[in-house]
Order: sequence, then structure tokens, then C-alpha cells
Amino acid sequence: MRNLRYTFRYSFILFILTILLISCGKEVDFVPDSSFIKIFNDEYFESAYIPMDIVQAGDSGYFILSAYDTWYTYILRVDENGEFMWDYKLEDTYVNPIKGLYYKDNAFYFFCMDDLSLGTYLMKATDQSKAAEVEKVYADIIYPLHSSAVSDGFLLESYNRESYSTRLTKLGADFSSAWHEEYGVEEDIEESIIGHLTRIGDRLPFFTGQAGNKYFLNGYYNYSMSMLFVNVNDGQQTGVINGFRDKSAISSAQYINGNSFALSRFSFDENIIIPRIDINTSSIGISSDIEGNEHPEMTPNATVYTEILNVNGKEIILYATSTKAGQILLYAYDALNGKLIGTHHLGRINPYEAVDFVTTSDGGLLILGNTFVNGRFSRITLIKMSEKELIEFAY
Amino acid sequence: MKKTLIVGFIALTSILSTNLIAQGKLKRPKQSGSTANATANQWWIGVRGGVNFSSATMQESYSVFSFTQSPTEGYDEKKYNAFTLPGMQFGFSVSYEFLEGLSANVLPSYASYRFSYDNSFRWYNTSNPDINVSTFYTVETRLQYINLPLTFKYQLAKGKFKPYVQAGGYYSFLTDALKKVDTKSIDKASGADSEINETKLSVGINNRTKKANYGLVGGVGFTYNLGNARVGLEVNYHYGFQNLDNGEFKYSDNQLVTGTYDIPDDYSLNNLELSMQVIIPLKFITSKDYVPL
Repeated sequence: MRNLRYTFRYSFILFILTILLISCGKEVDFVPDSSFIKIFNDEYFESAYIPMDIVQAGDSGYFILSAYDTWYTYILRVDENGEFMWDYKLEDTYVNPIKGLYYKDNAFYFFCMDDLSLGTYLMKATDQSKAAEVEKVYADIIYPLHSSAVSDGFLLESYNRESYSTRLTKLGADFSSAWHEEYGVEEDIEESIIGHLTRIGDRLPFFTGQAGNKYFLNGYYNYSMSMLFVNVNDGQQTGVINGFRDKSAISSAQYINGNSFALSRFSFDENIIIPRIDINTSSIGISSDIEGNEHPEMTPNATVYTEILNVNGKEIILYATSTKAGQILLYAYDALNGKLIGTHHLGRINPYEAVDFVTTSDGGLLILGNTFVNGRFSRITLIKMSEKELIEFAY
Repeated sequence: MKKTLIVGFIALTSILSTNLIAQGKLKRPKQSGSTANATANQWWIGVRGGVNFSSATMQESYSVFSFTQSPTEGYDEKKYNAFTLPGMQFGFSVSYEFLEGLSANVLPSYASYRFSYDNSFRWYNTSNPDINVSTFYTVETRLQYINLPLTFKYQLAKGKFKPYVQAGGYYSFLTDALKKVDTKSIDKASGADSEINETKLSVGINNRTKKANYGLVGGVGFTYNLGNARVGLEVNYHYGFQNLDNGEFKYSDNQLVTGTYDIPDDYSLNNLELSMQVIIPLKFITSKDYVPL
């Protein structure tokens, strides 16, 4: 009987050891905020959302700025797991939300336009109000096109229909106007601007930013979409990369260091990526002369968003764009030498378009996109890649 | 494959070692000659196979959609179909009857399990809800495992017909995993008033499924003496403890996630297995009562 007991015990222990030995797997249960894909949906046939920008709200999720039904303004607040918290559709007066979304003192700030006067509003939204209210009015700044944060404030690009000029306004950290400068287009391009804003025409690559002691802006100048370099103190133009009308232009720019930039450009439906190039910001150049890698997989005159990221201690230039196959495409380049490190496609079967991305406080990457659910309804999508996933393709 | 070989090797070593201890190094219990002790210390081996039906128990549900307005009731809800799709299993049985009527059993088997759930989404015109489009997804999951159950069986009666109950635990190793999605839609907005078949999609989900499962098993059955062998039928219920979804890849983009909007839930698997078996004694039989030499 004792021997039998040993036999039984031996069998059982061996069985358990076998299982433990082989089951030392690495699989884990889902960690909600590490990676996710979310599509913000409603069941309304006529709803169409066009996301514009995203900002991380500290540790408590994200805030998304979007247009809806062509050019009306919509804001969406989501938690750190990408789940819906609240949203708000602004009154029809507030149209044309532009890229440039800021989180400051537990409030979100963005710019939009008055549908009649065409003047610019600075809007403020908070979790308490769950709505957006006018914080400041810039009646003299009409047709706002783009804004960005710089070291000591904000830049706001707009179009002056009376002087046929692109205007750059420097705002202080409190959003008060510091200076403004205008750059002549030499012809009336209001029709193109309206087409861009209402999305009945081509979307144009307006952008602004800072490159050391220069600001840069992409907008209409001298008949064409051009990239201008200006002094930070007064907006005086120092250099330009000329485009050709709106057929050939720089489509995105990211300052790296020194005189180096990461650029992308388009020219008559072709798309070129230039991951690293030295530019004399005090000279005159032509965008179509800048050589780079042609990417026929991108949509014609693709919208491109470029940022410099630190991935696991390495500087990476990341490009986000959209492909003809209806996917979001990320290109990662080494910021030091401009070599391609990896690419990553997102979105299957249904169309997905890249809009923007931000790095998250946990080292991941959050991609804001536009998708057409069921192939037809335009919705906002958020794709969060964990730090591990980001390193896998971009390191 | 490597893991399967390791499992096989260790299991075989386990059985042989146990056999050696039972029959060689350890002293064999004396034969009393009575029927009560006649079947004790007997080894049985056999083959078994049959069908199974599975049910997934959802632990936490996930969706790719985050609704800004609550969806219509019944939509964006996975509805699991329990015990509807047949799978199959076949394997071996190795039993050691260490007391009369009481035996320890290792029942290694290969098994395929299938279960499904339905999900649907709807969009409609707010001013005229008759203008709408609904999409229906039927998602079938197929999982294949090498199972290693260890059970203890108690025989309830003597004679040719021997009913029994058994209980134990099991550990399973995933060998393959697949999802099949059938998409149908009713597109009243485009003029359809009946269901239209759309895509059929098959996607491997090996890396999205945990490599192992474990749980409890219990069941009833009977054997019937047929010459030196016994034939039998048994029903076992496998109650899985493990969440089978590999969380690391829950939202990793593929055709299922961004194409058919299918995010796997955290779930465990339960199976009802019906198996036939034929077993023979390892020791030479001299009497109709299987008295070992």
C-alpha cells in the first residue's frame, strides 16, 4: 500500500513538473493603456468627422480636435485607454478648426474661425465645462490656417484677403499678439483658401514651426505654395523655398539641428521624402530641385506629418502619411544619417488615413487618423502603439 | 513541434518510470486470489476518440468601437453561441488501477475545439431611419491542442458492464489557432432589402492565443468487457481556467481588428467531450476476471 502511494505520488509530481517546465511562457493578459485601436463611432448615417489634431492631457488621456460635416468644429475627450469621455459640437458660428492644439493649466486651447466675419477665435475647453468657450477674439486675423507652439509662445498663420497676403502672427505664451508680418501672394487666392477650408477643394499643406533662431511657414507666397524662413524677432523674411502654384510644394518639414531639416514634398502628384537635408535659411531655393526618395505608394500630393522622436535613446525622424491602398504608413529614419530604419502599415480592408501622431508619456506612439467605417462613414480613429511595438519597427 | 516532442518525451518517461517503480523496483503486492484484488496493480492502455462541443466564457469584453452615442440595443454586443459547433479529439489512454475500482489515468489526446459568436453594427439616417445599413459578423474560432489530462476514476460496479465517474485536471498545449469571419449586410441605403453575403475571411491567430490552457475535468462513462479488452463510452466536461487571449496582441493591427472590427474578448474555454474507447490490459490475462499473473 505504501509502495502504491509512492507510485501515485511520483506520477503526480512528474506530471506537474512536466507542465510547469513547459508552461513557462511569456504571454500576458491585456494591459489596457499600452496599446489599442479605437474608432469613435455613432450610428448616424450623415455624420462625418475629420480629425485635425491631438494632445495628451497629462496622465488623464487625450484631447482631439476635429472638424465635422466639412468645416464645423467638434472636440472629443478620451481617457488613457482611448475610451470616450465626452464630446462637444460647437455652434455653427465656430468653423474651420485649424491644426494647433495646446494643453495648458488643465485646459485645452485651439483656434477656429467665425463663419461670417472670418475672424479668428481662441477657444478654451475644460473637463469641468465639457464644452468650448471663446477665450480671445482676433478680429483682424482672418482665414486662420495653421498654428504651432514655439519656444516662447505660438505662431498663427492666416490669409489676408484684402492685401492678398499670407500673414504670420506671433503670439506670446498668454496668446496675446506680439507682432505680425505679411508676405505677398500677388494674386487673389481666396478661392483656393475656401476650397481648402470647406474641403470642397484640395487640402493644402499649410504649416508653421521653429528652426533655431528662425521661424518657418508654408503658405502662399509669390503666386505659389512656398516655405518661408523668417526672423524670430519681427518676422522679416530671410529665405524661401519656392513651389510652383499649388502643384509643387513642400508638404511637411521638421527641423533637426544646425541647418538640417527633414522634409517631404510633392510635385504634380509625385511624393518625395527627404529625411535629412541642409538648408540655407537665408537663400532662395526651389522645392522641385530638392532630391529625395520617390514614394509612389503615397496618395497623390499626400498629406504628410513629420516629427522627430526619441525612441529608446535614439533620434528618429518619423513620417506619417496615407497610401493609395487606404492604409496609414509610417516611415522611420535615423535622424543622424537619414537612413530608413523601418516602415509600418496600419489599417486593413477599410480605408485609413494618417492625420497626426504624438509620443505618449509611457514611451508609446499615438496615431490620430481618419477612417471610413464599413468603407463609407468618416470617423476619428486612434491607434496606440506600445513602446515595444514602436521600438520593433523604428529602432 | 519542439514543445510537443518534449511533452511526449516527458510523458513517456513518466509512464515508463512509474511502470518500473510499480513493477520492478517496488515489491509487487501479493495476490490474494480474490476478485477484489484481482484488478488492482493492473495497467491498461487504449485508444480513444470522439466529438466535442465548446463554449467560450467571456471574462471581459472589448470592442474597437468607442461609441460617442449609445448604439442601438443589441448592436456592438458579441453574442456567444454555446456548444453548437462540433470538434473532435483522439488519443491514447494509460491507466493504472492501483486499488480495485480506483485508477489513475493519463489521457493524452489531440483535440480541435470550435466556438463562435455573432456581432453586428448599424448606421441609419436620423431623419429617415428606414435608410440604414447593418453589417453582421459571425466569428468562428478554431483551436487545436495537445491535451494532457490526469484523472482519477472510480468504478461504480463490477461485472461486464462497469459504470464509473472520474475527475482530475488537464494541461493543454496549443498547436494551431484560426479565426474565420463571415460578413453579411443588409444595405437598405443602397436599395437592398435582404441579406447580402460579403467577405469570408480566415486569419491565423496563433500568436494571439496563449500557448497553454489548464483546468479541471470531470465526467462519467462505462466500459464493457469484450474478450480481453474493454470498450467504453464516456462524457467529460473540461472547465478551463486560463484566459486564452494573449493580451500582448489584442489590438495588434490585422484584417480582423481594422477590417472586421473584431477585438477578442478575454475568455476561457469549456468543452463537453463524448469519447469512445478501447482499452486492453498490459499484463497477460488468464481469467475472465482479468486476474493478472
